[in-house]
Amino acid sequence: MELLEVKNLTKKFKGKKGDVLAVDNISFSASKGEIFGLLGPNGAGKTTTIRLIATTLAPTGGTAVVGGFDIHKHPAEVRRQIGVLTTDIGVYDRFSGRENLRYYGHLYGLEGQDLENRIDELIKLLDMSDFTAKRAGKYSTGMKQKLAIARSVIHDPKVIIFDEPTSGLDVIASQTVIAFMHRMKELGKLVVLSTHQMPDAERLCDRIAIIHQGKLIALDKISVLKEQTNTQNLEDTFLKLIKQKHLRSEPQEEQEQKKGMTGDSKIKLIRQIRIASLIVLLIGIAAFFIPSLQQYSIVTNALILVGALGAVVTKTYFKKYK
Amino acid sequence: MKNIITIWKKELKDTIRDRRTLMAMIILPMFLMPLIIIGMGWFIEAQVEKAEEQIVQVAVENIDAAPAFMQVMDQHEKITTVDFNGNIQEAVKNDEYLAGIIIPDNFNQLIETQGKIEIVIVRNSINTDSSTAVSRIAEGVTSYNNLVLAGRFSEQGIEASILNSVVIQPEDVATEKEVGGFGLGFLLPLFIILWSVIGGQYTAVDVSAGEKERKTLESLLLTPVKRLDIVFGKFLAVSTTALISVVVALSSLYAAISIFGFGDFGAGTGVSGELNFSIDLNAVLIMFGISILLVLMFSAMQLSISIFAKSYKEAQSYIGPSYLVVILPTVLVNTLPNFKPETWFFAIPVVNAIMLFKEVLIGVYDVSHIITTIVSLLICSIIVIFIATKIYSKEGILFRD
Ligand SMILES: Nc1ncnc2c1ncn2[C@@H]1O[C@H](COP(=O)(O)OP(=O)(O)OP(=O)(O)O)[C@@H](O)[C@H]1O
Ligand SMILES: [Mg+2]
Repeated sequence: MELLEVKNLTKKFKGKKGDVLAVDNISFSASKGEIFGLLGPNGAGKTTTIRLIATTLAPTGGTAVVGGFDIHKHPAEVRRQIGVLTTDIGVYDRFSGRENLRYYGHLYGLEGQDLENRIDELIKLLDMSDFTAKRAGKYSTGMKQKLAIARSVIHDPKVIIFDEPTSGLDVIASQTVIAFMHRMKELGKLVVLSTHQMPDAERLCDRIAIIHQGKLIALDKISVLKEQTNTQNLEDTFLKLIKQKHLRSEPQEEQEQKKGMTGDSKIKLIRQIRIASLIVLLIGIAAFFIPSLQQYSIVTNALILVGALGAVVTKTYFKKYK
Repeated sequence: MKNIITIWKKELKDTIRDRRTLMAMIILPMFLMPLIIIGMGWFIEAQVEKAEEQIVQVAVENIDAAPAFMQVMDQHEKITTVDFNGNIQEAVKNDEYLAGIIIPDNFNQLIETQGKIEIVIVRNSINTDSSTAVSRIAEGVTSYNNLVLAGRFSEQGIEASILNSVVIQPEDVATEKEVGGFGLGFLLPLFIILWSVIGGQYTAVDVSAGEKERKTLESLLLTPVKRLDIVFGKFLAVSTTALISVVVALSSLYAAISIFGFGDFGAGTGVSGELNFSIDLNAVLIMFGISILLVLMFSAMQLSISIFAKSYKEAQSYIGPSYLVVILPTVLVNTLPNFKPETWFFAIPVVNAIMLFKEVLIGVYDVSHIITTIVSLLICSIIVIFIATKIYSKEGILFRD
């Protein structure tokens, strides 16, 4: 069985301006000792796919199986199998690098000398010994990135997912990250790399999946895809595949999204008025039942009346705009 | 359980390393509130003293018409009289004199014929010192009246002591404890409620919206730890800081009062600085128990509110108005005179705690009130905590961009 199996994974975000199909029926699988690339333009759905696999988001359809554990049935076990480096890295500023790592170690169930040994190992591997005693608030972007990488693999996971690990890094820091990924591959891990950086992908990935508007539009070895599209470098391959896809798909979805825009601010206003009316109504009703306020019954009745009226009127408007 | 403790410990450590939380949790309750109380006490005391010591200047029109009367007035240590010709009303209005006396021309004649004398006292009621002056004048007038009456009685061979037919002997049925408790009843509920809200506030924002803003939340959610454990760890950390600040605030208040006294802060309530009140251990235990429930409720509330926010700032603007919800009933219950709540009043959260604190402070232990309060707060806390856990499992809130 493959280490990572993604089957018909789908995620629809429900929004005020209409729904967004961020991940649309994606399937692929990847195995140990492989670096698997997840490529796609901005907003393609890469991060969402990763979050679905890592169980921080729940899919609206399909499933994924990581190391034999289904994301629906054993989410905690799945999280144990995976180490994820998120795009936006954040570290606990008031803790030192080592304290940061220790905290995550504890959360993964590691303790005592085993944990300290693991931390030391990662510090050496990522060349962090100069700064792990300092508070993380004083770190540079590169230092933070290294700390985030160390944190994501503290529990020695089988599957390592890196979401744009080299964005914002200089050449030297990038090299460290790339070397780290190679090392993980050598150790028999599955590395999933989501990136925009075509040269990185070209150098590192055994196979790539190209995602565009939530759909999987290509999945194969880089050399095969180049051959299919008759291109020399991955960037051209990528652009050509995306263009082909555009010609085929109808731009119907985008029009649908625009329609909802005009009524949006009105709906917001009406919703606020509606909430205010309901609050007034509640206050009125509450005041009505307090015996000592009965001499002010005109006020409480007025409150109830105004509140109820507001609620009914806004309700009809609500229906009209929706 | 182990994860809850790990998160709880980490959040506490984190919060203690943050200067803002440290301020809100310990420094502020330790120094600010006792300072305000003591400062206020001293200020009021100083005001009262000033009013007592002040020698008032009074303008007198037609001063020569009543020499005997003026002699009595001048004997009053805190009045100086000044002969005045001109517009006396204008002079008082301009604060040149604190009050004025207009003596009728036929003063002596009326005394002799035992007629009724009317003197006009001019005052400016906007000026509080003017009121002081008027009450001094009234004292002088009373002395003069007594003198005249005593003279008239002795002329008729009657003992002057007949004048003192009724004298007042004050006796307070309230025990010292009740008076002390009544005075404290104004402060303690406010303090406990205030600090159970303020104490945990920064931590609540820090562990939720703060974690979102600093982008560490996702990495926390990526660990195998259950969402419920994460919420509970954070919730316990917020509650702990709030409880610590309540305890610090109360201890420092207690220390401040026992060292510096109440001042005349309780002037209106009859509590004086020399009062030596003590609080029952039972009252302390009940108040502490109720405080814990309040803290749990407020902490869960703040945690729920601040996770909606995207950033630290936004969270604080959400939490800000919640002060009102808390302060308003406290002030209301405090200001209602002679408020005798019925039992169902003790089902209203927050309000019930305030009323119960007031009761136990004066030594009233009504079991039905205590139980109603505890049950009401317990139910409320559980509901709010439940809501908090629900909110934390909503992905839309955690990943709102
Ligand atoms: N929490 C959310 N709620 C609503 N819509 C979302 C949410 N997260 C992502 N989306 C939408 O889903 C789509 C895919 O976003 P996603 O972040 O997965 O793209 P991406 O491929 O990672 O892009 P990038 O390369 O810019 O990181 C986008 O249209 C985005 O606006
Ligand atoms: Mg992304």
